[in-house]
Amino acid sequence: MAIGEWHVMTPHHHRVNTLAVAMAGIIAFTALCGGGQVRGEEIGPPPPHWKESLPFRLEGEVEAGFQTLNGNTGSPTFFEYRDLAGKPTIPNLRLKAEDSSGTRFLELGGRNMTRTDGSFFLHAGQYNALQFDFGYDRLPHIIGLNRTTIYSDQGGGKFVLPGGPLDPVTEGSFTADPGTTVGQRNAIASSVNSLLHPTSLGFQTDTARMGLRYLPTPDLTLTANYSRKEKSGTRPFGGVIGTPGGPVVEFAAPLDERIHEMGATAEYAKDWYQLRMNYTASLFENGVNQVEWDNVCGNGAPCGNLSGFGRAAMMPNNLAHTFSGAGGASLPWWYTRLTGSVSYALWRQDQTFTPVSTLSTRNFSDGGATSPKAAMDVLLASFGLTSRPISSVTLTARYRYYHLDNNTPIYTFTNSLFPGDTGAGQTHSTTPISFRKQNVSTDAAWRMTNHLTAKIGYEWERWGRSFREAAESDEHIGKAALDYRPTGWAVSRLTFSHAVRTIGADGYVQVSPITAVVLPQFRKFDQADRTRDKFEWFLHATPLDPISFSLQIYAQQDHFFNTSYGLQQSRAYGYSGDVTWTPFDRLSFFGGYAHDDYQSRQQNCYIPSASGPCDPTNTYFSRPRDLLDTWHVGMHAIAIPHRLDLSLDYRYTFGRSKYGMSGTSGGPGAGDPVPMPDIKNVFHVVQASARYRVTLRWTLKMVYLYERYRESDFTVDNVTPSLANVLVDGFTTASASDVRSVLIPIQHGAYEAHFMGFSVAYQF
Amino acid sequence: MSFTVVRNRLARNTMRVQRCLWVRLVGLFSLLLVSTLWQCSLDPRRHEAVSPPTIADAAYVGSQTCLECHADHQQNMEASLHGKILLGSVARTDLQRQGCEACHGPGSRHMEDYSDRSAIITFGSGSPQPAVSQNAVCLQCHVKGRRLFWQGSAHEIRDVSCVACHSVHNAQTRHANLRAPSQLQLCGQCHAIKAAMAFNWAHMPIREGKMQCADCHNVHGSLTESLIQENSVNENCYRCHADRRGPFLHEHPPVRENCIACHVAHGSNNPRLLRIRPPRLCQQCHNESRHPSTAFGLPGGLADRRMLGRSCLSCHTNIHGSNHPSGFAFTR
Repeated sequence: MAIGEWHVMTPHHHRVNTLAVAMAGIIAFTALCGGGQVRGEEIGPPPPHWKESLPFRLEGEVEAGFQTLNGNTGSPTFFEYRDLAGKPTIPNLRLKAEDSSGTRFLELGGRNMTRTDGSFFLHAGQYNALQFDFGYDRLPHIIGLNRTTIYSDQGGGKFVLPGGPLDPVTEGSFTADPGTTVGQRNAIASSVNSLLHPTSLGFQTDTARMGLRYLPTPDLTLTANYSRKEKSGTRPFGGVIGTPGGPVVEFAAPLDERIHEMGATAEYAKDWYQLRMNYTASLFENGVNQVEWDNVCGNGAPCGNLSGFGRAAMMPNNLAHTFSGAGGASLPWWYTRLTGSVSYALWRQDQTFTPVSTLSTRNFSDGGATSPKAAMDVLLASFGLTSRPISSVTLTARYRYYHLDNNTPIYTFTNSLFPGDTGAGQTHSTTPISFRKQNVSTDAAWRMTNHLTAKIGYEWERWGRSFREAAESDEHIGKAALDYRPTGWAVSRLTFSHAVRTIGADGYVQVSPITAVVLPQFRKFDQADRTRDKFEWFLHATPLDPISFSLQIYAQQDHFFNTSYGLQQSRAYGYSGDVTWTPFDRLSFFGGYAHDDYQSRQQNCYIPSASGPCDPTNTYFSRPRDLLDTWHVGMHAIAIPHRLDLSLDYRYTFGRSKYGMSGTSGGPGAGDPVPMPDIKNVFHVVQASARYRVTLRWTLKMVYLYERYRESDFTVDNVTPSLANVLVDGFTTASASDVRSVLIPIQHGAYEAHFMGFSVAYQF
Repeated sequence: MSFTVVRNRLARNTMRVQRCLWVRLVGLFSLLLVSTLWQCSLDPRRHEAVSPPTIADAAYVGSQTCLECHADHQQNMEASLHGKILLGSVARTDLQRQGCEACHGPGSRHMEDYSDRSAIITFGSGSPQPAVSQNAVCLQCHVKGRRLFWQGSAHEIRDVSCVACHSVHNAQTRHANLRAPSQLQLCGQCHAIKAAMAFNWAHMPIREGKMQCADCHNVHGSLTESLIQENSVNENCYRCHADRRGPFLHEHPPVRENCIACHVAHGSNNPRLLRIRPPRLCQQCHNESRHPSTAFGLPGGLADRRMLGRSCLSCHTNIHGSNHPSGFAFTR
């Protein structure tokens, strides 16, 4: 199946499903009538005669079958990371050979080997001495199904409009300001729709790994490994023409990336100390350096561009070397253990700059550097000490220092242009940010009785930053925990922490001209003064052998107490409960519920021009909130001992995002903002499986999967590629740039799917 | 186009001085560690933080003796890697050669009185040995690798025993001998809310079985927050998303500092695992003039191209960093 193909029921599927039902009936009939003791040993069949003639030991499993898919499955959400299309399958294959002494081995096999999400492996070596591993894993990622685009991919990242810009004549559509007439909108939409053709959105990630592990002595382990990850396909990419405010176009940009990683490790371990040295090199390669796309308006003043092209750079090739050492030692005092780790990494990138302009007349010479010579050095030093001066007290101390040092030169570009070669040639300097982070923590745990353990702790975290608003910040964290084990079958754990973060003496300053008009009260949440409170309670109990349950509650609140504009507060809380009941050894039931709630509040102020100011009366609040509820129930039964296993599982998930709004926003259109429509999704999953052992070596397996998914998302529902006539929540737009925009909306459409897999397994 | 190169001497000098200081401190610690190791090597005593349990007045009886009564374990053990080493012919240390008794201790007293639970080392909630002692048995062989920072780790200080997650005799997975068919199920027994987040609409391929909890976390202990495997959250993400590592000509500071400032790794109701959707997400930090400060929440404002689809990221596509000379706004 190629990415983007639609899955439709065919007569072939009907015949296969009939056969599947027949096989299920056979299994059920045999289960009812053919129950009873399996001939021979209950566990482990004697070796078949053909194995005894081999000069080596051989064991394994071979499982083959087929899978079918039924229903409305035309949604990328269903196929996102899976290949469930109807086809023959090899769900499991494992072959393992050993020499007659049982010291050397070769094992190979795979899972779902005929599917694009399959995997393969090979292991070989000598037990406890040497091992070679090879693995190959495939992972699809479907982003969009049955999508359309107006662009043609000419290869090399170049996207053109067949026949040139959209028809400029009809109703004065693209070249003139489209205004708001229905005729103009219809003309634009018609032009766009006439150019639409199918495109695929998604990519395949294939990873190959090799590793060698050698133990020259029981204390020394040497490993070497290499992996290659390849991503190929397409992904949505947005381009804008002109100064902020231009129309947006989206196209399916090529994805052609490789990640090579190789490393070597030496580890030496004695009974009271361990040392480890490691080197890793990682290389990222991108086969696509830049993308270019035609402007839907062509070149010229309309749509505000000069070149008729947009151009953007893609992710550059980069390289990283990491040297690290780690160790631990058990000291002869107070059961003390000292651990430490030091790591130094060099990140480098020197990709040739993408030319600023797409016009030959404006392709100025570089006059100097043609690449960034980007360099980051990352140092980590981390140490920990754990001690038990007396058996009931455990003391822990940790120190961690992390420093990302950016040694990329600072460049000032005096002729920066927006895509489409627009803009007046602005001057911008780069900001090679660096930061360092230090953590010191200490805690003490006291086992007061056999049932009760209390723990207190303190942590200090300091951030130091360059080129950012808060050069320094300190956070002080106090922690407490209580573990209570009233009996041997129950454990309860309560933890609480309170943290206060404050900006250093230099305060919070504006560092970029573009933010000069931002109020001094505007604070970015990753740097702002903040209190953070966290609470968590966990209970697990098995009051009777057949019953166990667990409960969990957590809550976290961040309050940015000096932030007038920006993120002011965030809260997260959740709770869950699980229960397992096993009335008989052969039957168990389980169920659970989880709720997760994240909400925040932020205040913003509309600023109409580059020179400001903010009108305090144009202040609006946003209250995003994300909720998730998940239910699951299930059962597992050994219907016939050593013969028939059955399992059934149902899961229901309800997710929703709410965006409350209030205040007075000012700005385009002015007026009071209103709450946005909720974004919701509902997900039902039913999974049933049966495993029937016909003989000691032959097993029949069946899996049935039912999924039903519904979603409501105003940001993509009813959004066609052309935004000329887009209607959202009953409203449309009057903006010329909106009307000229052409997207590839990724709808996560509803689906209802029935998947069945049948297989026969042979074990030897 | 022309450019000038300017160095921020004050910031770099400060960084350089501090780097020298830390180089010296690291060197001092290394000297201290080497000295300690040398001194300890002169001490004949054992230095384990916690010793495995010992069974007084007991002698080894041999694995075959154990299997006379515990034959139900034989086939599973002989097929497992533990069995290949302990019961096979590839043992390389005195401890490994003890077979079953390498973990369960010498069994002579257990042979004399099966009901005496102190006469044999057992594992699990019903064992008379505390979790820390049970774990010491496993750590005799498994102290290196991913267990290097086990002592003092989040699970260890909460008395989580090795057998809470692993089972030598009744494992449900071939790799790592887990007690549950998958890591998601196993970890979800205690971290139920995080496991439930994997069933969000936007998720990594964990519930499909293509990723595991241990791909990002070192559950046996780590010196990084939240038991992250690598030196930082970002370096963890770069293993699969190396395109985001850069460095870039134009950096986006919160992106460089912490991926989870914007993303929720365990699962989200928002596209691309974002914590909340743009433009609200972006407006938590950006209130610059004109469109970054626009509410986009008016009646009719919802049909704006900066609200629909990928919102801010439709234009600011290279949001993780740009290598284009004109990429200061991450639009190129």
